[in-house]
Amino acid sequence: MTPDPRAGPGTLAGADPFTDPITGPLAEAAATVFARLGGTLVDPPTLIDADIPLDLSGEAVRSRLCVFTDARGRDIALRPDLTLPIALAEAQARKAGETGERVCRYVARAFRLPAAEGFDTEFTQVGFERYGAPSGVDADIETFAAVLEAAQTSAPDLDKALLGDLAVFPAVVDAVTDDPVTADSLKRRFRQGATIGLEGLEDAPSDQMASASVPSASLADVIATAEPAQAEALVREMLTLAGVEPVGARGLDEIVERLMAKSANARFRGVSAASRGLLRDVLGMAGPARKTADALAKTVKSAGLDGLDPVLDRLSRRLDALADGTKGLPLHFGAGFGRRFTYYDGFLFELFATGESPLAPLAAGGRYDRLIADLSDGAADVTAIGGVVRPDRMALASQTPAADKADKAGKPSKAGGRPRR
Amino acid sequence: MTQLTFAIPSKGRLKDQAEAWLSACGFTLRQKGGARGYQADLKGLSQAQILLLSAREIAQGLIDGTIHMGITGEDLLEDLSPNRTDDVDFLKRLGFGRADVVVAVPQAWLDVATLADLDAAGALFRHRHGRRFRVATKYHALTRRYFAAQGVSEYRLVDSAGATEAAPAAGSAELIVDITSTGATLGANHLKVLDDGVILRSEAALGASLRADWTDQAKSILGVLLDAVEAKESADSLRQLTTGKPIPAALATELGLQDVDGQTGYCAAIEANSVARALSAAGLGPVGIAEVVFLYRSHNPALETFLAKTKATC
Repeated sequence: MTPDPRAGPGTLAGADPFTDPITGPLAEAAATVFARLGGTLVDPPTLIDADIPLDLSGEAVRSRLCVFTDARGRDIALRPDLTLPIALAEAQARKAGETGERVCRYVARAFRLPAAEGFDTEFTQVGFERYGAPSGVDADIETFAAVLEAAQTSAPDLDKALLGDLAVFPAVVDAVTDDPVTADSLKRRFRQGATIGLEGLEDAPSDQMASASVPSASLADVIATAEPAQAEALVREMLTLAGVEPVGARGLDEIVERLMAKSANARFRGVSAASRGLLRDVLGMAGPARKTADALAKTVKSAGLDGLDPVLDRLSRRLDALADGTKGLPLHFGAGFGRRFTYYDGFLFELFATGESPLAPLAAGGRYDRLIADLSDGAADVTAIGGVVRPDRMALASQTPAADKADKAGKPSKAGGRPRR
Repeated sequence: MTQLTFAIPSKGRLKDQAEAWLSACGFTLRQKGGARGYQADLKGLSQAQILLLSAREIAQGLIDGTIHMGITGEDLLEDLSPNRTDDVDFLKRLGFGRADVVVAVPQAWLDVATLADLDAAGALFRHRHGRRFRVATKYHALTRRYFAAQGVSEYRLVDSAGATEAAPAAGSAELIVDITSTGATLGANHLKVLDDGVILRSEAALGASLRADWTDQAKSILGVLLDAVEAKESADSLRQLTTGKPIPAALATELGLQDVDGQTGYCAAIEANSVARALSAAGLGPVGIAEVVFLYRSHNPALETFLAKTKATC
C-alpha cells in the first residue's frame, strides 16, 4: 500500500506516492526531457532573504512563505520556488559581466504554505530557466513544448492548457489613454487581480481626484501650471505655514510630483465610459484560444485603437504554432489570466489534468523579461522564460484513472498505480 | 479540575473598567496576594477559575480555546484570529476601551488622502527608492486583510513593539497602522488618518471561546454570569411602577407597561415619569417609580445563542 500523495494530518512534507520525491522516476523522466534543452543542472540555495520575495511581490505572498527569524531578527524564507534563487544568481552573474544565452535546469524541493486544505507545504519541482534568448514566439513555443512533453511523460491525458499574455491588457490601456497616471493606475489594478476586480476600472481615475485631501483640490489648480521647482517651493511654504513637519524617507519632490500628476489626471478626467467598457470587455475575454484571440482582435479594431498590431500579431502567431504542436489538447486563452502572478510579464501557461483544482496545475511556465532588471536594480537586463512541472501532481493525474479501473475490477491497484509507462 | 476559566485584564485602564463592570453586575474581584497577584476570585462566581492576564494573552487564549471566557479588546481578537467568528463569540460588547485601528500617514503627504492614493504613491516610491513603503504596526493580520480588500499592495509590514506613532519620524517606517482613541498622539507626531483609513472601530468585549471544552458544568457557570449580566442590563433600562389600585389591562397596553401584575408594572426608564403621570391621572395613584437593580427573565437570548453555537461546533 502506498501512502496518500497528499499530506495527511501531522505531516508537513508531501509524501510522494511511489517515488523518492527528488530522484524518483517521475521527476527523472521530466528532467530527461528538459536535459535536451542543454545548459547546466543547478542547485541554488534553499534559504533566501525573506525581504526579496516580499519586496518583489508584496505582503500578499507572506501568507504562503515559510519564514523564520534568525537571532538578529532577520527574516529568512525557504525558497517558494526555484525561479527566484536561480534568478538572483543570474542577476549577480550578469552584473559581473556575464553575457549570452544560458539555460539552468533543476530538480529540487520548494516550500510554500498551503493555499488550500490538502496542499503540500514541501514539494518537488522539475524545471528550467532560460536567459538571454531572443524574446519572441520561437522561445515561447519551445518552452511550452518542453513543459508539455515533460508533463506527459507520466500524465499523458491532460485536460487543458490555460494560456495568457500579460502584455495584452497593458497595451490596450496604452491605446485608450495618453495620460501616464491613468495608465499606470489601470495597469496596477490589473496586476492586483482578483482582489480589486473590474470595479477598480470604474472608480480609479476619476474618484482619485474627488477624494483627494483637503488642501489638494485647490492646490492642484495652482500646481498644474507651475514648474516643478516652483511647485515644490510653494508646497514647502504651505507646510511651514501650517506647522506641518515633513517626516520620513518620502521626499517633498515625490509629493509634488504626484500632486502635479494628479492635477493633470483631473483635467484629463480619467478614461471615457466607452473606453472603460472596452477595457472591461477585454479583461473578461476567455475561452477557446483561437476564437478568443479573434474576438479580441475584432473588438479592438472596431474600437479604432492604434498600435496594438505587434501584440495581437505575436499572440496570433503563438496560438497558431501552439495549436500545430499540441495535437488536440484543448487550448484556452484569457486576456486577464495570470495577472496575479508576480514575475510573469508576457506569455504564460498552466497545464491541468482532468478534475484538478484551478489552484493546482501540474505544470506551468512563462516569460519574465523584467525580473532580472528588477532584482539587480537595473544593473542587468536580460530576457527570461522558464517552465516547471510538479511530479506529485503528475503522479495524482497518472494514478487516479488507474486506481478507478482497479477498483471496478475488484482488484487492488497494482503497485499503487505506477505510471503507465 | 477547573470547569470554567475566566480571564480578566491584569492591569491598566482596561482592568479598572472590567472590574467596575463586573462589580455593577454583582461580582466582586478579589486579587490573591494583593494588587500584584495574578490569581483572583470573583465573589458571586466562585466556581470559576479567574486568571489575570494581558489583553493579548486573553485574546490568544480565547482563540486557542485554552480559556473559556475573557474580557479583552475586539481589535486583538480580530487581528490574532484568522477567522474570528469561528473562534470567539462576543457575548457582550462592553462600551468601554473604545479605540479605532487606523491607517495614518505623515500630514505632509498632501497627495495621499485615500488608500488608492497610498497605493499609487507607493508605486512611485518603490520606483524611486527600490523598496516598498514600510508600515509599522502591531496589527499584522488586520492590516494585511484590509489592504488586500482595498487593493493596496505597495507596502511591507514592519513589526512595532511600542510607540508605533514615532516610527515615521524615527525613519523605521513610512506610515503606520495603530490604535487611536482621540487622534491627539497622531497629531503630535505629524500624522493624519486616511479618509478611508479606519480599519476597525473597537471596544472591549466579553468573549467566549468556541474552541474551549464546554462541559455542562462550564455552561452552567456561564449561565450564572450571563443571567446576571442580562438582568443588570434589563434592570438599567427599566423602571418599576407601583400604583395604589390594580392597573386595568387596557390601560397597561395603551401606556406600554410590561409584566403587569396587580399593582406593579415595568416601563422604559426614559418614559417612567410620563407613564406615572398618566396612571395617576387615571385615578390609580399614588404612583411610585423605583429603580430596579436586577431583573431576571426566564429567557436569556445571549446565552441561548451561544449555547446553540457550541453545540454546532462540538
